[in-house]
Amino acid sequence: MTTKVPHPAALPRNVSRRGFLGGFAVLVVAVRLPSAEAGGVTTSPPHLTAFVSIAADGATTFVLPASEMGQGVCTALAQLIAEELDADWAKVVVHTGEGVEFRRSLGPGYTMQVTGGSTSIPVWRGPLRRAGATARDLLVRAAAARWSAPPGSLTTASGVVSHPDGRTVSYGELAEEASRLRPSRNPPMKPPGTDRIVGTSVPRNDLRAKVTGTAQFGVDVRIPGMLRACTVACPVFGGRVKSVDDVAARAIAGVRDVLVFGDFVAVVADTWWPAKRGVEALNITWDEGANAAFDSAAVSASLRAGLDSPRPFVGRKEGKGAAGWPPEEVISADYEVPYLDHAPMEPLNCTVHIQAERCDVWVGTQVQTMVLQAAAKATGLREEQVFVHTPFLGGGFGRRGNNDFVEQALAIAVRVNAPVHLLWTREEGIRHGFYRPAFAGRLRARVASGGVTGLHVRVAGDNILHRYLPKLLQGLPLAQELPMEGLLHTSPYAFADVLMEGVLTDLPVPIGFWRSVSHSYTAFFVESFLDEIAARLGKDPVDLRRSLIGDSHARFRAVLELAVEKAGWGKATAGAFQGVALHESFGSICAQVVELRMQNGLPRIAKVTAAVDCGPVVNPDVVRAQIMGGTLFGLSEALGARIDFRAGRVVQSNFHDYPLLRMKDAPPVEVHIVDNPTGTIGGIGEIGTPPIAPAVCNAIFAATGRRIRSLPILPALARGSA
Amino acid sequence: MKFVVNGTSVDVSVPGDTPLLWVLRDHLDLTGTKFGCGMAQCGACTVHLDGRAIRSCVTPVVEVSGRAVRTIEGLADGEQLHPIQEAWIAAAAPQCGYCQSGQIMSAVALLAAVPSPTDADIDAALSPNLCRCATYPRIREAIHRAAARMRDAG
Ligand code: FES
Ligand code: FES
Repeated sequence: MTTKVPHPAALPRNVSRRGFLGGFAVLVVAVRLPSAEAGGVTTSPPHLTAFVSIAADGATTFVLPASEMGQGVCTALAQLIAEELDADWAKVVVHTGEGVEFRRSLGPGYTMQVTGGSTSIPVWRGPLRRAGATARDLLVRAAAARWSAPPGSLTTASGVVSHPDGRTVSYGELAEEASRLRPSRNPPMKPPGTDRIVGTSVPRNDLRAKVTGTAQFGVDVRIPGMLRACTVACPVFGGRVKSVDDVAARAIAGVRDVLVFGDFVAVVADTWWPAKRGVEALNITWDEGANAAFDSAAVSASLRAGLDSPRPFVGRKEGKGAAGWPPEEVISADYEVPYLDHAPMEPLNCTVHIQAERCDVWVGTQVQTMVLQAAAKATGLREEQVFVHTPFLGGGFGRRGNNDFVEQALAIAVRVNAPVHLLWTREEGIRHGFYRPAFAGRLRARVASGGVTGLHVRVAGDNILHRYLPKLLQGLPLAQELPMEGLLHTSPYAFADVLMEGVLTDLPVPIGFWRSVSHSYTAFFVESFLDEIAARLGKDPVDLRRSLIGDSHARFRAVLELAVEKAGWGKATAGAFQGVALHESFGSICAQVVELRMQNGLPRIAKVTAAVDCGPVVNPDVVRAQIMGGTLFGLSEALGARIDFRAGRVVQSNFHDYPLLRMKDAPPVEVHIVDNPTGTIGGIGEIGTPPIAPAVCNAIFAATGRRIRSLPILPALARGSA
Repeated sequence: MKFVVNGTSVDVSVPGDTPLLWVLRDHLDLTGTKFGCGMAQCGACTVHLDGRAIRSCVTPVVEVSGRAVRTIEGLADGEQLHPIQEAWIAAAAPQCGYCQSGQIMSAVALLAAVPSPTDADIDAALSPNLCRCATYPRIREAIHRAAARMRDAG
């Protein structure tokens, strides 16, 4: 199987995206599906459609609704279609669908094409299987008509229809006839338990491109006559350009123009290097606005004030809440996490080509629909005249769900009479993120006579949804609950008294969805504090969790037991210490056991053992890769990274001061998958991230008796305070 | 400015202080070598200069004048992949894939110098290369796998 993300420059002009798809394709299947397919995932569209096209030579194109950013959807979603289609896997070509026509074909309720929230498999499993089955049914009926045979007597395998008498015909030969038939509303589906492709570790279809340097990322887009742009935005959020001295920049060979916008300045050049040097040569006076004095101390003060707020939002209350707990039975601790950047390896970039009746945008995005709408707005064209092309994403993690850099590229392209490729520097990326919000948590437990009977958690920080929702809707419980993800119905632990509260702060920092969103801190708060309770009670941390997991949460028990068994809990090698954490996010449960030893006061992590229950598995190797990657992504930030502010500016700027995990500090991650083929399917891309910080901190406590209550770990250890 | 890239002589007219990375990407259209940080912190831009792994984002093109540069595009022999590329596929190392050209170039240079690397050798040679998807364990596995195969092949 090959994956071709078509070279953008190779796309024909003046044809619609579907026209391009249909160029050689004679069978295009568009299937509308009922909303029940979405399995109750609230972000899912009520009506869905998927495309399969087959060329006369058998080449089979799957147009996927999700962006490939490393999580393996290019392979796993293709497996789902290929399974029901009985496709010849070697002839499958995959790319991301885009454009207003594609979106409309997905059904009236499908208003946004988004990749995020670990939803690709849970949301698309049903619809894509159905699309494959619909296409197969058309091909079988076409063969049946050719042979005057009952369709039910024919069989399919690897892109071929067979007659009982031994005759065969390939899908490619049938494609045109099949395309003239009416798709069935009820195509036969494979019976459960008969999958050949789904559930197997089919090799990822993007590996060859990604080891030969031929994979096309947004940064590699080349359009004839294209100019390059580099930008710098006001370093203070909300600030504006006051004046620009661009004499030195314009003197650089290759620089074509300097363009001034409200809050940023762009240098346009023949190639990127002079554009970047041009930006460095600019002498800009900023109007820094209201946030010029903002700093990290203001963040901590605001979060602490939030913890003391008299009027929290109550997200969950059971029993007496936290009322009437005798003070002598209460243990309490405050936790805090910093702002974090996504820092995908591929710096943000976007290519725009505006022509008279057409605008093409090539961008590694998680939100094709937002790109399309922004392009229509910026150019004055109709949405039908905008074509969004999605190459591979060099990492997303939520950052590419924001459109800020796309809007910059569009604004530049509108003023430049040529195709434009905007590429940000790393510094610009780190200073202008949509950060994982800083949060504080105050945790209290009622501990008496050998047991814990109550848990009270209050979190304080900014709500990401407030960036997207009108004021009127911000107060809705559903909106208020986002910062409390992981504390509400997905928590497995049963206490007589429970109180979960959220307090919203209002800080001037742009925030966004960062891999695992609120789970990234709620897991740290709760799973660390459970260890504090265990220590107070003199109990083993695993035993405490066993005793607290409610009867209705048997899945958690199985995941915890698997991790504990595989890790050899309680049997660490001499001088090594273990820590455990358990958390559900995005419909899947992950438990991790960390084994580490302290060396010169620093943790050396020897191994992470993870167990996961994500329900049915489409591709076990992709699941293992995602749990490994998600875990180490979380470890990266848990150890050393944070975003700080001074004089209204982000302090960090590149990987020397926003340190990410490196090879020498990356432990092996052993992943064990709970066999649960009939369970509800969950996400996988973000699931590994939440438990790792508390698992490491709990192991550090086991090793040293020191409790880390603020991240990242390494500076906290160096400070000598927790 | 004349130098050799993947066995082919090239001649570019750019200011001598232009980083090799941008000459490769923007002038020679060799886009397999990636930009990640521009300050020798991430290794995405790793190429070989006379066989040694260097960060092309901080290497002025004047420094490579008359010398031999090898990029990810120069590893495979036609359709025949380099054993390290094959090991990478067997280990299913890439996720987003963006860092992998640089990782592979670092690994090739390592195995050329140390045919049977220890984990500590791998730590030293590959730690300049960041992977935000954190594919490190599989990269390590791929390097050991490639080393074994290249030894077997003699
Ligand atoms: S781009 Fe050269 S080391 Fe990062
Ligand atoms: S594979 Fe994504 S950065 Fe390494």
